[in-house]
Amino acid sequence: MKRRNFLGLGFTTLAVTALQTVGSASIMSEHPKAFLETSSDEAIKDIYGSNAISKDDKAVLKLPDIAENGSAVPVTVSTSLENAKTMTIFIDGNPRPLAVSWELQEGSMAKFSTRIKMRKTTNVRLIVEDANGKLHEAVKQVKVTVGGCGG
Amino acid sequence: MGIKAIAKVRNGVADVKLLVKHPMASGKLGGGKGEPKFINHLTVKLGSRLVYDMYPTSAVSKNPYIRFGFKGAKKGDVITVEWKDNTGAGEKKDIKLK
Repeated sequence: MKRRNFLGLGFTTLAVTALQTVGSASIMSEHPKAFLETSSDEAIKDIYGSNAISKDDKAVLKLPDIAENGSAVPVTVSTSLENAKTMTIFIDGNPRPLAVSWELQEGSMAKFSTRIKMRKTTNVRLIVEDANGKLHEAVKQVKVTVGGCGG
Repeated sequence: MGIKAIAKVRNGVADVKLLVKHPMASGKLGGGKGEPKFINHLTVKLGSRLVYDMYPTSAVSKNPYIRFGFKGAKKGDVITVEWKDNTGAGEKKDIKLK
């Protein structure tokens, strides 16, 4: 029960912070609970609801096959879809699978790169929400030699 | 704290690479120790136009590397990078496109 309480507190703090820093409604301020989920499926449901997810070539996820250092795994996400709304990365094997989300802007290239932390060998998922709210998914397994979730 | 940037324009398309100094600590939330401290919102604007809107969590690596692009840019334009973290800290920096 204590753990529950702590999570509740964290949730409130995160929610308040999000509201303060984000002017308009956004994926993270609307769904602060998603960050605290411990499974990708639940986090995806929190953000995107129970809409069907199609695995197709519209969501493109670039990751190395093997990551020697799990604390900084290079990732590039992109989509060929016109006017896609959001893209979100989930890492199945992390304590908090929700990793990072983007809201696409008009005139911005639908291609983002960053580096993510992976605790262990696991699947990484990219969800792309298109202009009609339909969901597209790409999944890729990355073998992690040295995990990197500490710190 | 600190934001390093390489931002270039080619054929009207800006290619922006950022390196933001930040611990991105997951703390207890990630099964470790201490309080979490991580950037949870990072935006880039060209004037009043939002060109990049990112919502990281503590699963983004320490000292985040970020690369993105946008159309309708020209040399000499100034973009404003701004981030906030979950503790309320933040930073804002103007960068000139080359």
